Amino acid sequence: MKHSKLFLSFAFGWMTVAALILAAQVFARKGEVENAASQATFENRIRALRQRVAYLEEQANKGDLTRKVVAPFEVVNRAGQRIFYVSPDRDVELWSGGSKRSVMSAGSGGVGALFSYSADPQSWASLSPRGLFVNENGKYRVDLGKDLQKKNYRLVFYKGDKVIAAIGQSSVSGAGIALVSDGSGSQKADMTATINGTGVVELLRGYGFPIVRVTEGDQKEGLLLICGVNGCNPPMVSAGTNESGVGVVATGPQFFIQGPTGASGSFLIGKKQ
Amino acid sequence: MPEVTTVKVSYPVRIMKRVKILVAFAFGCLTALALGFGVDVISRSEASAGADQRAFLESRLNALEERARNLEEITAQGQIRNKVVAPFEITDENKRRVFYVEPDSASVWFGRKRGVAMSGSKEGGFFYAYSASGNQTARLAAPGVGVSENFLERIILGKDEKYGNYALSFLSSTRQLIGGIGESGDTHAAVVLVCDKSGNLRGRMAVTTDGHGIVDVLSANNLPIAQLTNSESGGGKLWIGNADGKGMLVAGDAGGYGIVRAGPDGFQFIPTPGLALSGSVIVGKR
Repeated sequence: MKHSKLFLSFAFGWMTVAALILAAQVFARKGEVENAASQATFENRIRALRQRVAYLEEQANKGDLTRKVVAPFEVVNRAGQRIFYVSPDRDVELWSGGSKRSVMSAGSGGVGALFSYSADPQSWASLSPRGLFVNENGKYRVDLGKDLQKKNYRLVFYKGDKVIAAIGQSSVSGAGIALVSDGSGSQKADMTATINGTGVVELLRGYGFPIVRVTEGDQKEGLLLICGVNGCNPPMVSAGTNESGVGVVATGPQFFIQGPTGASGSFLIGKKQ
Repeated sequence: MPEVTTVKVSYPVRIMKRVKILVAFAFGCLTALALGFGVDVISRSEASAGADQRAFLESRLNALEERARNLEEITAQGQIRNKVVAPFEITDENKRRVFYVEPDSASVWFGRKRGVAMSGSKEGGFFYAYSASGNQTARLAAPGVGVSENFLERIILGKDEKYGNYALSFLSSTRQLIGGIGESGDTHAAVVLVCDKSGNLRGRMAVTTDGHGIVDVLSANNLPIAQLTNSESGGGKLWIGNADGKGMLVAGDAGGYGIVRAGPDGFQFIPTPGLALSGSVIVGKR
């Protein structure tokens, strides 16, 4: 009797807690049922997703998935570095190593242009309807295209800001011209046609100061004029054909003034056949 | 009759008995709780892990659904995203390549060949245009432009990397210079060169190393045979040589008067006052 009270108390305590746990498990079972329902929802969503992706893959295989891109558009390598870029400003750019290397542009008022950059961004070449430009350290070195008056086409080589060589159409005569200058831009020789249409090859001491000229004379004959340091009027030597149709080589400046002996020492003249 | 002995239980002893009953009850509770709690902890742990995994799957599934939705919207609009990973290709309806972007170039194709391409490397950028046969190529780069045929450059306009000068050069199929104009690699003044088909220099308009203009015609063995240049006095001079490059005629400014000498012996000019000069020299008068 003495111990039975203790056993009863112990059992009563046990049963009280067991009843509570049982009640809790009933609630837990309810949650499991809800989990099972959730699992079914997952599977449904995954099934739906598979169908949507399969449809997109099918479209992609048919080539119907994508046809249009809105600028800007970019192609990158697997490291995420830019390779190709189309800007909203109508520039198409090719990049390498994080730098712009080549550009196709229609952004300058609709004028198309190609730009090619060197490793040094100060040196580049461009090709446009205006012509071809090669730029080194921020200065033009080659200019192929129209002149500044937009009249004549020519190829010009620059050194610093000076023209050192050119070939093309003269802005003075409109005829063809090739000219060479020294490194400071002082013109030394040219080959051109005059406004009158006569051909000229000449050496110069600078622009406008000829020292030798091979050209066409008044009789449509060939004419060589060698000039002095003070100019070419009169020439120091002339060689050509006179009005009588015979060859003449004359030395100046006083060509035909005979000496006191009457000798014709300052010129040679041919005889007619 | 024996006398019943009544034993009085003292108050502390009664308290002690109730405490024992309470302790027994509490012990019963604790035992049941301990056993039940252990099971419950395990089940709760499993339930917690399951909930975490569900949340993780839920978030991934949500993200995938979002991506699929975006892709469907883009597809409906006929557009692609504005950033893709190379290689990138555009084909025509027959799956033939039209445009292709590789890690170092972008090109437009015709058939199975590149038509034009733009490329880039650490040296700089390049544009290429190819002929239909593929054996002719035009190139634009920062140093200039070039036209190649059968992998040999035939026209070069731009910088000569060896000498640092800029020029236009026309080359033969054997890489011989045929003609050119531009900056000389030696003097860095201007020069115009004309060569025969074997690449021998035959005509030149240039500036000498001492800064004078020169126009000359050269023989096949690269010797001048006719030359226009400066005289020593600063005027002009014509020089004509024989095939060996020996002077046969000199005409020019002699310092305020002209002189023409025919050689080779006519160069031995000895003034003879009062007499006529020999026929191999004529001299102008001041």
